[in-house]
Amino acid sequence: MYSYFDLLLITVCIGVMLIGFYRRRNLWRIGVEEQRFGDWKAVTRQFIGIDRIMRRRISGLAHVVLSCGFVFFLAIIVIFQTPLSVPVWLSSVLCFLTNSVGFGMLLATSYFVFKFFSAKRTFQNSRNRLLPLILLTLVILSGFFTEGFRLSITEVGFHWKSPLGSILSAALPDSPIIMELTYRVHFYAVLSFIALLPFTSMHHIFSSSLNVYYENGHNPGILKKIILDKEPFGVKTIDEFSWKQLLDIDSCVQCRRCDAVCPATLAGMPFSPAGILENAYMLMTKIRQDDIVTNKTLFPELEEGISKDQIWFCSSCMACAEECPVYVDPLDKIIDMRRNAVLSKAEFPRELQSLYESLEIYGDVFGKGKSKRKELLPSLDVEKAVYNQKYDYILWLGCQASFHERSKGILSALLSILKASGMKIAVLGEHEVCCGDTARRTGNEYLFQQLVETNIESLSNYHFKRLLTVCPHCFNTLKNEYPQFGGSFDVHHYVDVLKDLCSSEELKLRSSSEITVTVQDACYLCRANSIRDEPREILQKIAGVSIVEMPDSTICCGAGGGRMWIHDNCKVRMNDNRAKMVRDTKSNILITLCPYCLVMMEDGMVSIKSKSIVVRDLCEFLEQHLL
Amino acid sequence: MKIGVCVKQIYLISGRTGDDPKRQFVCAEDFVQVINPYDLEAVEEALRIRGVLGGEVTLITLGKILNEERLRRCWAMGADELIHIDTENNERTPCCSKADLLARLIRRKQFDLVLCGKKSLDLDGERTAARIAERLSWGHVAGVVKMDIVEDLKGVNVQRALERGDREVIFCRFPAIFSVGPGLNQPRYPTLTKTQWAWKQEIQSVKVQDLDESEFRQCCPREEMLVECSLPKPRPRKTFTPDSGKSAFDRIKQLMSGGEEKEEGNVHQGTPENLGERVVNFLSEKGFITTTLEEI
Repeated sequence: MYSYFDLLLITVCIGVMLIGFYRRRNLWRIGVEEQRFGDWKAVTRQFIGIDRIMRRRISGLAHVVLSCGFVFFLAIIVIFQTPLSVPVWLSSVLCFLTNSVGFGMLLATSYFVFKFFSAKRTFQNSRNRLLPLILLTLVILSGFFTEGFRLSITEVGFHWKSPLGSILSAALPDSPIIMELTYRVHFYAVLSFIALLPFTSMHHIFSSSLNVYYENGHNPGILKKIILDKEPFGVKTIDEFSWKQLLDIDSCVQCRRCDAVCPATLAGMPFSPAGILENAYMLMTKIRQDDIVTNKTLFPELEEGISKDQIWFCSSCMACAEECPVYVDPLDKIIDMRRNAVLSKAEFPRELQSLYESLEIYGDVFGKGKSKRKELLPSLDVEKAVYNQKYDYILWLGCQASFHERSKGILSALLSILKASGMKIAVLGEHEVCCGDTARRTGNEYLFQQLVETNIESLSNYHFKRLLTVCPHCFNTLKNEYPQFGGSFDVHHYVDVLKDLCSSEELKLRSSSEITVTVQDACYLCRANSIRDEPREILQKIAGVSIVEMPDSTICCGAGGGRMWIHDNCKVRMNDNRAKMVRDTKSNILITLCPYCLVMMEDGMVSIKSKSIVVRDLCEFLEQHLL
Repeated sequence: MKIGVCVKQIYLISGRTGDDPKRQFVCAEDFVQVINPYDLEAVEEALRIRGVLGGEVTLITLGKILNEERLRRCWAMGADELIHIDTENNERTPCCSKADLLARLIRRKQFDLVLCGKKSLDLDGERTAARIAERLSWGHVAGVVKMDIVEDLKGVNVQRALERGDREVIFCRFPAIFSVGPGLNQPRYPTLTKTQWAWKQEIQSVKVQDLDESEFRQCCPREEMLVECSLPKPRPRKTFTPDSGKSAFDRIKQLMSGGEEKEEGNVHQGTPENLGERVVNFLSEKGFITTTLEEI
């Protein structure tokens, strides 16, 4: 069937494809070693469309049609190279399937081409994106035309097994030469598509699948621990990323779904997670293969592509990592770049210097000191934990709830609720220093490790079953990151406890007047720790309250990643943007779950001059409705 | 160019949560040990001058080492060496002896320029730099807010802040000692690389005896002794008492309402038309009526 020339072409194209992928793989291999395990189930889920890709229905469906169709046709081509004989009914069914799948793929590619041309932004490498789509459309069209010509020549009339082919055959002349031509076009188009796979955006067939395979249940809320014994700290040049991070950069297809949920991009800041990945990708693909082979150590510095200021816009909300259909995590790369900036070069926004000094000298983000933590206790009317006693719950106050004027309201409300329900808790007083979350998210890993060490040492002196936190940042760090340093505790955020109290009816709630509330989900609860329904279940226990959901309910308030300290001096603010979204719900009360969100959203409301919406923490709201 | 910087380790009191009135209700947790912030500005200025002119920056500290971590972190800002004058006694060294010891060390090391903070936040003395200058007969300016090195004249133009925004610029030839005032610069944050380097270095320790103790007493003719250190004495509280010239009713009313009732009134005279106009104006000013005169 195939001439020798054809076979030669096939071999050459497959060879070119394999060499192309090999060279791509070499690019990732310049990275640092990292231990990762594979999971085929994750890949299969994405492939057949029951995972993140379907969050955008039409694009997801189109992509599933393309990917499954691609595999289907590949299987058909490979299987039918063998001299296999199939019963007639099976061949008819397969013929019908090829028609319908082909038609679906044609619709899908047309949809993607349409999206390409109607996109509002310009693509950096448009040839790479458009070419494979055009080739694929050509493949399908030429396939259909060949079938049309074939049917026109054999003159079968309309047959159900080849509907589209039959329709075309009515319009096409019965010319064997043109059929051969379209067949040749089809064949060469398929071969060029295969050969060009690694050099166009279609390399994501390989890279992105591999990325999903190595996803390993990675939680973007748990940052990598680094040993700070010698340089480099963090990532300065492209090869200091691990191979998995380089695979991440390679897998990004610039679909920009992360941009659609990034609070910085939505607020109009000159920052986007996909932009950072794109710049890193440009740097990576500039590396010459000869340099890799000779183990040349001067790889491009990241600053050549990503400016120093870019990385400080991120509020570490992890929305990008949660949204990405191919499980790319832009956050861990930004954090690694921050680590290098802070630890190796001491280049960071000036506002953070007072934060670091307060943490180093006083042990809290406000610079008040341990004695002020001790001074809080008489006014809170709560027991201070002693070494020899066993406690069920120890309440970890956190810096915000201890010292910030507005957040103290959360604390007093929470304590009165817990007292009303008869729960006995104790606090640590001056033996608590900052959990270190802000230090870690701004890249100061050294300071973070010092704080962790201090806290684990203090906590090891006490006997308790559970640690209860007020702030979701403390919750995430204590629960998920302290085990990296040997401190494993059973940590809960207050929303868990309140939900248990409400559902077991230990807490008597009275009904309220008819009000609508909307909920600002805390990033570190809903994303890294999957706590989303609990606050809504609690609110539904209060009669008269109706919940209105914001269309993007989990967009960050803009306080994480050290931005609480940086944002005052910026023209564009994430909390103002978020406040506008809240105002559009036309609800009466905004419920927050985090002291940072509380302060930021109140500031946002004042800034956009909205007086009708009141911002309350969940504890404050519940306390008002206690019987 | 050899630059020396005197850094003082101080205690800051961040709260008073103790029980002992004799210790002014301060307990161990209330203290934080830091390097005097003005001295940090002096270190930063020394590093900048070294960046321009080259040379070495040496830090000098005196007394017990309170918090080695803060000291080494100060060293990690970029200084080349740290010398510790070990007084080996736990009593407070009087200021003139401190100045004397520092002066001897400075003379031995032959610095061209010495910087220190204008005052330390624990004692607010503001005298050490002047005393050192007196011992060494060096030029001295206190409260410097800007320094411009004049290389060819081997000196420096320093700016001092006077009251109400005035500035004076003084030229001082090397060797000189300056005490650096607030707002000179923003001390840099040390990198982790430098911090780790600083932890590996050895602090040079110099004992008081090594600095010629026999001359010590003679150089300090006036002895100063700390007599007392106390908290501010409580001031007599003033209670508000109402005017005894008023009646009992008025006095009680004043205490309850917190203020006095003033009789405000104007007696107008004039034609009925004038008076009417004035009454209408008065009423509309106070907001009792909303129509204006033209509408009536």
